[in-house]
Amino acid sequence: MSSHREAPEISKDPVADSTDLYAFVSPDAPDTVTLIANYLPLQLPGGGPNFYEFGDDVLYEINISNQGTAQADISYQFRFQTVLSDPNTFLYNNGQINSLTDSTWNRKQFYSVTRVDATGTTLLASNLPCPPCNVGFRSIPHYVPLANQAINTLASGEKVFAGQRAEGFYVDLGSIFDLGDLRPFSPDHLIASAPTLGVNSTAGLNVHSIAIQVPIKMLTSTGTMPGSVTAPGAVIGVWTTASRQKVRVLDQIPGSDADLGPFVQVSRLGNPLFNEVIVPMGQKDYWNTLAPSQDGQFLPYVQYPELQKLLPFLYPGVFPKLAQVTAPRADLAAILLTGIPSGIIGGFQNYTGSTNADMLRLNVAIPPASNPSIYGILGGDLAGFPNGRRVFDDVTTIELRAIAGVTYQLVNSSYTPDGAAGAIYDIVDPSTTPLAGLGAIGETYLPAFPYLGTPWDGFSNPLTTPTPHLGNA
Amino acid sequence: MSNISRRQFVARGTVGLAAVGAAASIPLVGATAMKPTAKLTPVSNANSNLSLSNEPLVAHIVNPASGEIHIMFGTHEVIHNDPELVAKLIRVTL
Repeated sequence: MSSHREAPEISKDPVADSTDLYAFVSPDAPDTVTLIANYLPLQLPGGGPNFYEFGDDVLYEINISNQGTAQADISYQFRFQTVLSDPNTFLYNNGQINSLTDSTWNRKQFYSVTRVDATGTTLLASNLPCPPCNVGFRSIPHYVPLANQAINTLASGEKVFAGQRAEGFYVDLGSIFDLGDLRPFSPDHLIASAPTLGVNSTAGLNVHSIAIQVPIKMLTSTGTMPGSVTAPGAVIGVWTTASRQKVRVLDQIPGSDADLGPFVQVSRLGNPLFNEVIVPMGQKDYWNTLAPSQDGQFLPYVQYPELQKLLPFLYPGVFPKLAQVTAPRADLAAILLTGIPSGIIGGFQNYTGSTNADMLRLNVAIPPASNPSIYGILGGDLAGFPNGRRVFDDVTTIELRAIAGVTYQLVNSSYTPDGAAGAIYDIVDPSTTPLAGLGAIGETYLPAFPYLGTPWDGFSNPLTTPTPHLGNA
Repeated sequence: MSNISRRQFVARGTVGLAAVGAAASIPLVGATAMKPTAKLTPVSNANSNLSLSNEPLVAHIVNPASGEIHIMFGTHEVIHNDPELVAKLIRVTL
């Protein structure tokens, strides 16, 4: 998956497990950038009575580098606090929830937002409410307006939301982790079978999102809106981290557990699938503890990706040209570790300097697309991945095709990719599938903040009925 | 380690001895196990009682041969070098 359960240790710690990171110029507010960090993967909507929530003991951060050094020049920190109203019931709610302050909602979460930058540490807001999980229409008759109550605009200018959302990332897990099969192309696999449509394994599942919309001028090194794609400060690097305190002492006396010591990073996410697919198993946990500026040691895994070697083996005769590539993949290093310099793709660059660092790189001078392509830049849409990442970008197929050789032409004009490199896909063909077509595989998105869809409710979702409908919009 | 905590830790490092002195006044593995040593700022029993903190702390000895004790309290960590105390704590476990 993008980064769901992507490393052995963090897969045992869901509340600190970053799953996806998004960074894009807001389509409905183009003077702002929206940053979304998702945690708590693969939520069954009916997963009560202890529904999903952020970790009170986790420090969540969204980091922005704007000086070209891959260091965090700005960090937004999010800390959560859970309040239990009635400890003498097993119920999440003992009546309908119509307001974020309803006493019928027994277990509420609140959070604070702090900005750390060159001027110091500033607490922007505290006691902001999260919405409840979407239990079902009996418990929450009108979820959308209830969740909207949890969207707050801060005095400092940012808009924030933290709470449950529908999973926006789509991937065919059951196929791709079964020796790299892609169902539509199963006849060509080493262990062949009949072709079938790809299956969206995350359809009907939820996730927890931390979303913040920030005026662009509050993110750039110049403090202004860049005037052009090549203007100084036009590119920002973004990653998210989760940290826990070094020591936890478990005690049998309720409420006496202790967390002590400095926070240490246990989860990190920049580009989708980086730790998942690029970093080898024995180093995934280590990678999660590092800062992006320390990623130079992983450069060989990007230059010579394991998947590049596997594709010609798993699909015999399908990737003969890829099988001949022995040079380091400078295209992948640029896309994932330094950004793409000017002169490679017309009208575009997201280069952040020579430091190899896994970050989402967003050129904030690229305006939102009026007709976005889920294929991103490869689909001619400069506002999409790998220029940042939007909630609907088909990052799995984009990266799959890139590793298969489609982007190698960018640095080696004499190379002609295999025909299959530009044809393979996971669930839908992003070259021909419009954004609206993702509804057919169970994905829903919103046109406005926080952009990820209303979470599936426990009573009616694709796991409970073949024709789910949100009964409590 | 998060950036903010890293910054705090670096700042702490510059005042490490003072921090250790403060930590020394906090009970460690029971109130009687932690006594001032030559490496620590001497603290009289009376002063120690006055400056007792209600916050818990944990002492972590990563490698007994190093003589180092990592003391975790709040969101901080100080590293205190005291082979004598390390040896004493080890004897408690025997």
